[in-house]
Amino acid sequence: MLLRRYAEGKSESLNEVVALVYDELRQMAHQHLRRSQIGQHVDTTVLVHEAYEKLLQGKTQQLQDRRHFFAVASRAMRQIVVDMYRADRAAKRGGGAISVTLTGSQMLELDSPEQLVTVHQALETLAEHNRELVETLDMACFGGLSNEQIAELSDCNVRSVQRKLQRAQTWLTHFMSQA
Amino acid sequence: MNTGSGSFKQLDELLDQAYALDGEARSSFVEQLPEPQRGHIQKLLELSHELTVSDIARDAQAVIENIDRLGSDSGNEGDRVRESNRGAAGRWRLHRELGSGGMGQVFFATREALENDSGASGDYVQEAAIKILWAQRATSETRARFLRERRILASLNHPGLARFIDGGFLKDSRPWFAMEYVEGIDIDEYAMSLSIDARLMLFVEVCASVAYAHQRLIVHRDIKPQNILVDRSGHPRLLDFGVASVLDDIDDGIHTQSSGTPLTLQYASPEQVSGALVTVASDIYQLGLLLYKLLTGTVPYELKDIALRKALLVICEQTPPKPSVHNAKIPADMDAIVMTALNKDPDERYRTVTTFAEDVQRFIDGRPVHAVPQTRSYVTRRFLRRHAIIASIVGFSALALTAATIVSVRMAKEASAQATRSAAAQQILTDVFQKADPFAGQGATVTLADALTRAQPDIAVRVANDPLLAWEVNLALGQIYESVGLVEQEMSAYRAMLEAASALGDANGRYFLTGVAGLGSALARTNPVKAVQYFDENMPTRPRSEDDLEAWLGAQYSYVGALNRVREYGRADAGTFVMADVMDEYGVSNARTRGRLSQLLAGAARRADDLDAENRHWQDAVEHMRAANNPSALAVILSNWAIHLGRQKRYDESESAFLESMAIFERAGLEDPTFAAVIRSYAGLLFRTGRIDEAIAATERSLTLLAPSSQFYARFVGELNLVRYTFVKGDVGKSLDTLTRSLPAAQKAFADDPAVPQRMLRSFAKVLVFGRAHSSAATALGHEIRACGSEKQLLAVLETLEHPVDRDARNAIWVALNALLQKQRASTLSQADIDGFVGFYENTAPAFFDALDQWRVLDQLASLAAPLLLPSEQAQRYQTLSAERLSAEALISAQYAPEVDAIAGYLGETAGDEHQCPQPPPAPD
Repeated sequence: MLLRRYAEGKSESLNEVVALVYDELRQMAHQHLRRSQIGQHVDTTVLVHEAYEKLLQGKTQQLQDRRHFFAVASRAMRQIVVDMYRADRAAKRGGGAISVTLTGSQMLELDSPEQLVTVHQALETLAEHNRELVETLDMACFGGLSNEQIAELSDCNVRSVQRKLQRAQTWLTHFMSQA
Repeated sequence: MNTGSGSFKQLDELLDQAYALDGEARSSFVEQLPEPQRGHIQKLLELSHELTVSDIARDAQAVIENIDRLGSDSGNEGDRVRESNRGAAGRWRLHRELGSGGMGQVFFATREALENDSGASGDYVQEAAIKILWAQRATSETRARFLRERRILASLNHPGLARFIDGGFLKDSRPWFAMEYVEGIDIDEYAMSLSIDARLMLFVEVCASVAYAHQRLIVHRDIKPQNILVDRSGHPRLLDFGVASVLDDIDDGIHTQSSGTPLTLQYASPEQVSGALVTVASDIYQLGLLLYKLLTGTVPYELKDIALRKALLVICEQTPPKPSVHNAKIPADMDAIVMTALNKDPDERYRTVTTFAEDVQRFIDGRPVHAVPQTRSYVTRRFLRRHAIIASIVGFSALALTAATIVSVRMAKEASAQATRSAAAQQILTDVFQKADPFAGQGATVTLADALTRAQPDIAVRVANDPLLAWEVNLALGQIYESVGLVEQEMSAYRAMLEAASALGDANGRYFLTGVAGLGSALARTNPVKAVQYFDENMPTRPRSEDDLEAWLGAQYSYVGALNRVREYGRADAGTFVMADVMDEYGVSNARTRGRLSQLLAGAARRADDLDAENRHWQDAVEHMRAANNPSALAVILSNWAIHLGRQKRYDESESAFLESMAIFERAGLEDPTFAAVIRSYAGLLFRTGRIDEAIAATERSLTLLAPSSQFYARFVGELNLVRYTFVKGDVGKSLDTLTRSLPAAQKAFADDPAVPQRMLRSFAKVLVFGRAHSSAATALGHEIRACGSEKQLLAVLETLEHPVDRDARNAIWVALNALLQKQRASTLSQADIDGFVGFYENTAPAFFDALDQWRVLDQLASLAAPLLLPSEQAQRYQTLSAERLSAEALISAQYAPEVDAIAGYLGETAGDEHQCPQPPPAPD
């Protein structure tokens, strides 16, 4: 099986694995776009391709398992959204009020677009301290995974995912207030 | 706080431990920590004090709300509130930007209320939305308009509007004001999960707020879903009077406003875009659009992507499609209401918001709406449909309803009762109902229930010293209350009747027995066990004399009915035989009574497994009812017979009995709950005979015949049927939609009996599980579930289903299958791919997969393999797969059999339940 082969570390499998979860990623992107108001002109597929390419660029990363894959993909999503926001802002320069709402099942609601950048930076800071917390939050808020799915991928129970999210959010707030 | 990595790790661990605890345990855990950790942890927990709530959604919100300094680091400071102005708005503290509009920015703000003069911080924090005029756009014109909005708001005080709190000027002299911060969601989004009636009620509330403003000569001019939030308590709040105008300074027309955003255009009235005078009629038009959106989920015309000039033309010229075009469930009356409000000519719309709201309310109450041409026959039809039973009890002549074309079967049934009712009793009832007569007071908002309640003291006085009169009137009242489903009032009427009977000195006679029959059958509808107990205590074994005979038979019939309901079939059958014996003894030849007896005997025969006898009794029952010339009773008997025939799989005969029964109802124009039950049973027959589309249509029709506010149980059964039929049809989306819609109502209606909505949840779960077999439906499902907000409940239910699935194996197979699909799309799918997969699948799946998953995989695989059928070996393979799929389907059916059976059994037992003949207690001689 491909999954097993890639789990065993066969490098060419990464490409294939990404292709395999193409649909799932696409769905994530759909969900993502539906919930954010960013660039309604952007085709979902474009967004997915961006995520896909980002993953390939980060070849050095070792994808140990499915969870790792989703964590990477979710983080890529976040990066994509932030990039898109920045590009949009550069283009319009103080123009249209883009409202960004990232609503996964965890509902990380952003009330102003600038907040997206702030959140992004705070998450990067937090990642220096505890990568796992950020991954969990990414999967929930940017990957559109439910707590149950995250629990399944991480092989832990839902309650502990909730606690991780609580901690992540607390620290996120902390770092944002420090910014 | 130092959050170097060492310190972070330690604090993070402590934080994790703290979060593992709840409430006091957490507090004491933090208390025992040494400093400085304790201080740090306390601060962190404070940062997210809301986070203690398990609901993660609220956690995130709290995080956001705690972010204090948003906007300050934004790039375009020019128009923003400068740092120097921060906190300068009174004692208010600005937090984050809520939004911005043509005139200014709106911020979320708080202030700590001072409890006393000591200067100490009070113990509560007041929240507000503060609007501040843009710095650069503060021209004298916008300034004047801003001040006008402030003035308008300050003059309004209504629960449906955001309250004005405070106002002032910044150091740079820009005006600001604070208004109540409303947390909520847009009304159209909120309405999606509601029933049509609930949406309408929400809408009526909005109208009240607008009407309030109109009374103060204020036109809102920007009513749209985005400006109406539904708060946590479920009440709509109208916001943003930013473009509102006071009617006497109307010169500042909308066309001069810089608010030509597409969204506003979408909700603009013809006179707004054409520059004509904007009056309250414009708000009425916008309310019409709002109602349209609430009912259909869409706007009459999409103006987003079309050129402005064309949009204006559309707004001014194009007649929108009726709401029912988008949502077939919307009746013609509602179409008429919406279209009246959306008339291009302001003078042709409702004159006031209040009349608009009243018409909607009339629709909710099932009364004639004004939006429809007021032909006499229309009003009569509408009234009779709603109150056919009442009309028949009271007597049509009393209501001056001379529309002789309308024949009521109940009228015929009641004719004898009316003939014997005393003139005095007739007069009292006539007086009461004159008040509810649709012709009597045009525009009156009185409902029948209101009329009755209001008339109650008057009735009491008029019957005070005349027990016989009291008895007669209360008998009629009991029947009326029964027909409108007010069971408490019904029972008190029957109790009053029993009191009158004892005042008449009638201990065990016909007056008493008639009351017993009434009260007992009312009890049987709410609490059958109690009803049986009541009958046990009050029913004499046999009538004392021929005088009591008719009353006794009526009560005995109710008694047996109650026993059947509690499944005390032995006693029920014994009661039936006593009844038969008594009828023999007195030589009762009354066809209707004999018909009823035959029906009871048929039931007894069924339990004795005597099919021949049962058939014979049913035929007798039908014959008797035909002879009784009592179409209403005949219709009911026919439908029961039809159900019986259906049980024997004699579908053709069953159908013709149903059709005859329904034709009687149709002819009579009687659209009441009994008819609804008959149609529902007929739908069951259609379903069993494979006519699913017809079954669905019939079920939907039966649901429209039920009053929205009562008959919860019948509604619930009907909706559950609908869920089942649409599901079997493969319309998972609709099935789910029905469930989503019914669930909240069911939970509310069956608060006392949670087993009922629980059943619904289980069936919901099943649809969910099965629904995943359809890949396209799966996405829709996720979306729907999110929308209905009961995801947690669903998951809880799903967990109880316990799928024995090895998740890794399942995931692996799905991923591989996805890859195959990819390859197929790219036309590079090879036989080897399929063979490889099938091999892997066959080795893995049976061990880990449940039947459902096997089916899903095989289904996919079969479709993959289909184009590759050329070599015979592969054809063989495919056929094997198909066969496997079929057997997997069978397995699934087996796996879910208990659940399906439970639901089917439940449905069969209620939907197929035989109806008791409607039973008018006999009148006194």
